Amino acid sequence: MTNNQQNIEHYLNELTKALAGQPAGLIQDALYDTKSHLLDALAEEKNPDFDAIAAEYGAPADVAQHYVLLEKQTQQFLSGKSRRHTVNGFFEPLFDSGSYQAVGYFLLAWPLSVVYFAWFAMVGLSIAALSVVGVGIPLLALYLKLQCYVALFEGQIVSSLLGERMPRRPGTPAVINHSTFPFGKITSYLKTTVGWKTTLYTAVHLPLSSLYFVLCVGLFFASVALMLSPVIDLLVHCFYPGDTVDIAWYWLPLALPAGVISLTLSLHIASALSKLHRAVARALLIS
Amino acid sequence: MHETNELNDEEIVAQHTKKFQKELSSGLVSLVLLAILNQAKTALYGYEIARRFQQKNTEKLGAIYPVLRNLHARELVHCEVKTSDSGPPRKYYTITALGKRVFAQCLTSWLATQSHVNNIIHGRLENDQ
Repeated sequence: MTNNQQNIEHYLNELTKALAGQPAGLIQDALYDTKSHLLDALAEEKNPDFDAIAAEYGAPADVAQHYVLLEKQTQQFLSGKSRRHTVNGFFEPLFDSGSYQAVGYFLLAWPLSVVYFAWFAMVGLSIAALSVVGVGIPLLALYLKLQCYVALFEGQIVSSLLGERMPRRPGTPAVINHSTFPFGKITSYLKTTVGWKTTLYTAVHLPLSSLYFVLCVGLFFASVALMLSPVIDLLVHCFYPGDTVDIAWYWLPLALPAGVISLTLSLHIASALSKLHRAVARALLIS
Repeated sequence: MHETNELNDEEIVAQHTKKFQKELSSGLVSLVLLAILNQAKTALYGYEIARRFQQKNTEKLGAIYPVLRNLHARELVHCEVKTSDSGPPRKYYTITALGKRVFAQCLTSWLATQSHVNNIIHGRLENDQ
């Protein structure tokens, strides 16, 4: 590792220390921006002097302060005004758009998890098998590099639908050792923790999303169907008079409150599962 | 004793000046970055923006990246990842149509503020003399 690479790594470590306690997504973004700037500056300056470049960029503590200050404004802009709950108590989730967004995520998560699992089982495991005999190792490095972008993609969905602060920059290796190309590059990607963690995420996402689908999405749509059943039944009988299932309109006073209660229950479950999945995403999609 | 007090006074003045400069530049960095992107004929990556920014300002370059992220989140700039010949892919920024409109309004507001502040400062200086 060259002096400049060591200096960059030292600077990034100082920046990480200065950002301690901040959301992991924000730290990853700040490290990505800083690393890109320092690498570009070193590559484009005629007589690169790391100390001068770092001095122009600012002390890690000052840079960290800028990120923390701007983060508040950005989050406020992205999430809008602070939510005001007009109703408290059991029925609170009915009036909280976040609960419906969580149901939306769980609805989307299942087909996505099938794609993730296929990517993991068909591509990841095949490459892993080839790596055992050595020929698959460059492919494994490429697979782990692509996993950083899978993490970024999934992170953006989690961020917009579940409200967790996720990185807006991919979690690439801290410093790539170009001196021993291509081995340095391959080793750097093999050491990227986010690549391995995302691989685990793509493997466990299918069972998790199946659980979410059954517990939350199933109950949500069953509740909606229960609420509307007497009305829908009337319409169904108009088109199919021979239909044997008969839920008469006078069931509405009973079906409606029962449906509202089970819908609220499904939204409570959505909030709890959202908390669980945000923790999983934080642990596995951020370096 | 007297020297120590003077030194403390200078430190206090320096602290106040630094705080004032920080407050002044916090809003202006966005305006300067929008101006740079508005003038640019092609998409610029972070370091190119930093270089142009430095010609116009004494602010540390580390301050511009969080502001760029903020402008991107507010959809005032567009960001696209492109591969580069040297090193990892870069993020290229361009100003959006919304960004251009916001910049035009902010520029008008800035020029009016600048003129207003200058009038007051010069007016007072003339009155003092």
